[in-house]
Amino acid sequence: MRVFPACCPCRRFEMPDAVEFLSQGINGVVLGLLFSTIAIGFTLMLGVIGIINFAHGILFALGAYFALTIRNTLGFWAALIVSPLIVGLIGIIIERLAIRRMYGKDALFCLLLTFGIAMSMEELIRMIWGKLGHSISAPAFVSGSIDLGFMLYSKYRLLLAGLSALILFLVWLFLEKTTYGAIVKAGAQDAEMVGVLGNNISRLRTFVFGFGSALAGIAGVIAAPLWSVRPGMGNDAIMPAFVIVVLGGIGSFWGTVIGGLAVGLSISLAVMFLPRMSDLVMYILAALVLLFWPRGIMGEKSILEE
Amino acid sequence: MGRKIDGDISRRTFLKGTAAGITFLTVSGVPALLRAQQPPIRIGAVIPLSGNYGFLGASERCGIGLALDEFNSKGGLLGRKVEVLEEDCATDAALAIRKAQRLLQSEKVDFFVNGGGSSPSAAMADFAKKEGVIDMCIDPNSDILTGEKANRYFFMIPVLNYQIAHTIAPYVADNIGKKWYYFTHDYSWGWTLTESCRKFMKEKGAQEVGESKIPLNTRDYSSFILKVRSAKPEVLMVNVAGVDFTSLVEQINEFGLHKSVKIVVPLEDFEDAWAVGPEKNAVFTLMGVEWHYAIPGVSGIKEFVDKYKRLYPRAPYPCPTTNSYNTYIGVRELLRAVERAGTLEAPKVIKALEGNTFKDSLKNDSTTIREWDHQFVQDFYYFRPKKKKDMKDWTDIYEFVGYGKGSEMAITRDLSQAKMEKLPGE
Amino acid sequence: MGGKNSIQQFLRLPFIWMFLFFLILPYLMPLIKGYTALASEILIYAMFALGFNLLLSYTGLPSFGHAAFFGIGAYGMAITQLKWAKDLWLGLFMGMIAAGLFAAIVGAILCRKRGIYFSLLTLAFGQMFFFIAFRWDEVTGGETGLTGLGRPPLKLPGLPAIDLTGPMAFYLFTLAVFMVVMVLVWRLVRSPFGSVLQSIKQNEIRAKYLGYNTVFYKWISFTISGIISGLAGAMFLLQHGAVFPTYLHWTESGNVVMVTIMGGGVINFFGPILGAGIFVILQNAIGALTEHWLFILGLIFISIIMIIPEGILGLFKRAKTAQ
Repeated sequence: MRVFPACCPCRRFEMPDAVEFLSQGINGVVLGLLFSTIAIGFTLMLGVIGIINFAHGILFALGAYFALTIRNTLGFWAALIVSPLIVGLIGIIIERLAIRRMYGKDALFCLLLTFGIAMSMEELIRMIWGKLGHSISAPAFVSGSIDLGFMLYSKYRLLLAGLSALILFLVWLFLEKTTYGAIVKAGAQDAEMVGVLGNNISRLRTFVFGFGSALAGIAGVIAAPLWSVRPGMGNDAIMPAFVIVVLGGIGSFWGTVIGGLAVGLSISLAVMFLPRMSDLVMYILAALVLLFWPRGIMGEKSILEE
Repeated sequence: MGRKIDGDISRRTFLKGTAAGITFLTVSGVPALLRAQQPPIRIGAVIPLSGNYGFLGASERCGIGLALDEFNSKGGLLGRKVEVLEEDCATDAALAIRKAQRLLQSEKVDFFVNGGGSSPSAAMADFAKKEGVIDMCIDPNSDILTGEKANRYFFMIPVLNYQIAHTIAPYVADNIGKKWYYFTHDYSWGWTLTESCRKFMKEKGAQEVGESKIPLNTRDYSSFILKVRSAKPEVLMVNVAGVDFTSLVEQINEFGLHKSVKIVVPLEDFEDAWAVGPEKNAVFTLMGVEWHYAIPGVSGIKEFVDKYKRLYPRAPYPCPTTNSYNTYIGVRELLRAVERAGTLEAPKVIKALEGNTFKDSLKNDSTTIREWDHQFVQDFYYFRPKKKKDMKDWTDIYEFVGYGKGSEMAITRDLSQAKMEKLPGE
Repeated sequence: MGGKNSIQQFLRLPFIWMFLFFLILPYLMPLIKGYTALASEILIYAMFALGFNLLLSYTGLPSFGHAAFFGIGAYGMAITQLKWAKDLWLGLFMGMIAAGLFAAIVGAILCRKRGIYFSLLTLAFGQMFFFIAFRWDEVTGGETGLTGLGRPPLKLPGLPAIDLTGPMAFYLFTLAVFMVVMVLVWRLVRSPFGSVLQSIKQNEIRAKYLGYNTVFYKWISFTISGIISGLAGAMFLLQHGAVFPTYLHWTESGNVVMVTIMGGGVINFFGPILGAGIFVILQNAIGALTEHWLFILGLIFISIIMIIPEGILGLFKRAKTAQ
């Protein structure tokens, strides 16, 4: 649809039509929900136990890789359940062996430790599964596109949106409606208090780390058909996770959801109008938000500010 | 953190540390010294084994092996065994240079072979000139490599964008459609291919209805595919390569774009088609391919394929591809030139390469190594997807349509930016 | 009397010994499958780490985007050579100015932020610069970067131009630059300015109460750190003759943090130098043995962080206190 006359220099910039706008808008929401799912585990770890987990990206990648292997033998749904469990287990092991020693020390050391872990594990993935990427197709029942009459849209993306929303809902349910979830939430506010109230802090921390890892893993499983499985795929997850947490506020559930949707929609908008800027927009967005809301949109003062 | 920082390393500690360091260095270096006295001819191969073009590396490795085998099985080159040292450039230019430096300074290789796409290759072209070492470049197709980056030490084996466009575009305009949309991979290779296609498109009276620049590492093509659909072209020219291409083909299938538009890919590597599988690859109406064994009526192909299968029964690709072919030809001709020159000295080998024509090109016509831009001038082919019932095996995916002669289609001197420098002593 | 004492004091510092060691380093390199150019890289990386450590350990601000300033310095030098003049001093100067300018701008925005938010914002800005370098093809060459750059000759007043194309000549030039930078940074951290920085790191509120404009001091420190990183970047460009967007990627920022801490930068001025040397040598030596050297490097780093977070020089210190 050409809005400008032929002589106008803006001619090269074509306004997207309604169908494209709508499709890209839906894309933005789908992507946003996926990003929120990726970030929720990260923000929990950060908010509740004060751990900046640089290995979050690699746990995401592991989720995808285990799904790759499991899917060949047991199918998509099995992969969706089993892979995050394995990743959660790996998270628990990492916590017990390494992270445990970092509590109470400067947050910087933990960040560096997880950076080292991420580095080694990425190479480990290369050693086990090979250096090349694997394209993974959507499960057969959602392959191809669905005809909505006025536009076609990918079936898998709709499933992806649904699964992300479901996962986020389940996390919310856990945090709001279960007693252990309440403890976890309380831990985000004041870890000492939780200890005083008689709950085992050490077990809480291990649980949160494992839970956060499992969330990273499941995000990897559902993202894999969209982004393909490569050893470096963790980078596609860790950076948005940082940005979303900064945008939404550390430790805030709704902040993460809002932040994720904001990032997803801004990327889609950028792809429509300025594709070259699409990877930059989320950082610009983060910087702008932080300048006016220093703690993120829904953040509160956290121990990490010292 | 709150720790105070001091700068005290007492002299004694420093000397102790240095002594320890030197001892460690010496001890760890002794084995290297012991192994130093061996005279095989060494080729440094900086090839992509991971990254955007990572899957090409495996094919390229086979190509090198096939060429080396031809010489080593007959007693070597100038009486010496030829060996190759491989390094992964991961499709990254900075890494390619670092690896090349190490191969040159530490391993003292005599020649280079490089791949990994246009970026690492442009960097390698400069490296070769700076260090005065010959580099045979075997997988990119960007015109700048025989244009502004051309120099005496750098040789380009693959067909270039100008020739690809010159061969494909007229055929498409005449036989497939006159309203074109471009997908341009947003870096030098993509831009130059689209530019060249445009030139020949206009000459044949076809018109452009739109273009989308696809940034590198794009994962999500839905918006681009939607744009094409609203522009309603007859032909979609896909000037995209590597892992991005694979994702794009997946999503074209996902959105069913090929049902409303005829899709042409001016340059496809067999490895890309293999990654998506022949069914998904069948979205294309026409594919430009540098080399495939399905070229009819050319002698030597069958022997080449048989040898590949014999030497590499477990290779990732069951048949040799364009990239094995280009690498084989490049290394083989380099070694032949060394033989003709009778020495490893770069200026003499360069002169032996320049202007050489060889008949056993495994293509319809002979190939010539042009001395003013160092391009291996050769034929370029185009195919359509073979119907499943006609396929003899999973590799038999191409049906021959036609080809363009290198001598007629390659860029001419008046249009080229190549400027060759003088070698020392000329 | 005072003069003799200060000369004695100066001799007790390791500078002379370091200089002598670095003079013979190129001859030691082949023993570990290294080469002279690699020795230059060690010095350049050490410069980068020193500049970074000024911010990290003396001011207490962990920046995760510092590779951006390194890269900007390299691009500054490259673009000067391509578009302006092939002059050595001009190029280095412009690299430093460019990096310093951007550091000043980013610093002005960030230096009010505390703790984690500071670090996350440096990460964000670092990535922004990376993507600008990656996508702005017209200026930075995009993914292909800028290649084929030579080394302009060294022109000193009163002397004929010195050719720097040979690896040894360039190494000696790098060594000279390195020594100057190192001594200058040493003097800086030992000066009243340096003391203020350290007091800010210890307890910023107290420093404020003492009347110091802490934000201003942090900003100056950030800018100087950026300038030094830019100089290192420009030298790196001269070393390799090419600059690529990957120089600005966050993994490079992570590497310099890792290297600085690994060597013991947190407790010792010379820590970053040791860390840089170990990193470059390991990268080369292990890289020659296995392509999975990152795995080993990661393991080494994890072990160091867990066992001796003060870094390798921390080991020496522990040994000393144990005596």
